[in-house]
Amino acid sequence: MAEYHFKYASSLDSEDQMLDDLQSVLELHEIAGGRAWRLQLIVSEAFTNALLHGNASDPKRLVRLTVRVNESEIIADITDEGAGGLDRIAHRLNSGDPLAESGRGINFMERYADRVEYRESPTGGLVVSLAVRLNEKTQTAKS
Amino acid sequence: MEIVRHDKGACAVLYITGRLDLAGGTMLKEQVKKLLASNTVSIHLNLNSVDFINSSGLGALVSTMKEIRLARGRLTMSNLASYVQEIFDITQLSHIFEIFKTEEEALSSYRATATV
Repeated sequence: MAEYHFKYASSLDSEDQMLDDLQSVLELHEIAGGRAWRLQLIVSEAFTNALLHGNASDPKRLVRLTVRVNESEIIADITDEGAGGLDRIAHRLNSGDPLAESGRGINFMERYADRVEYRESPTGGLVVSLAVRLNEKTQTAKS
Repeated sequence: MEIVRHDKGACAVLYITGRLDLAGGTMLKEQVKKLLASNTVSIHLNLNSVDFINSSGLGALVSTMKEIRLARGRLTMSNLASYVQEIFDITQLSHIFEIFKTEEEALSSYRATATV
């Protein structure tokens, strides 16, 4: 299994850097097309939540990304340095209003990941673990 | 992300290149605010070169549309890649935004509206 570790300040431009890093990992493992697109989307959603909600955009707090690739799947763990993340997930509001300006990220994660897990890190931050299978025909959306 | 503006008639066409994410969405909202401040309220977004969009980008588009409607203006979009269209479809935003296949079709609709 290959494993990659990255960390980012909680600033607006970190997401682009993270997506560049993730793209490099995907290219290294020749993961492309719909599968790569799904992974970039769901990791970006967890990353944005970690940055805005977990770390409250405090640039001194880090968002960590760990990517593990094996023969059957790619797993990305996104970890923030906030507190109460599991409660936030449990009590999130999902209005279903198409005109809402936020609140779609977790829906995207749960739609496009093959597996989503939420847990608390040893220091109390939220860890979102997202897995996408590699051994199936590429598709843009889960059927 | 990069935004290039070309005025075509009374309509400002914004060509967006790159990722429409948290930072890109913020940039788009600022650009549209400037346009509205200069009384340009007909705005078309050509998304042909958008290679990534997420919920932050969608939120920025929704926010932009609300601002333009408050100014009694009109927002249209065109040239969505298939995966961008999919995101619009699953969020039901494809029913809310005015989306055209091509920029020319969108600009024609402005001309048709102006002559009614």
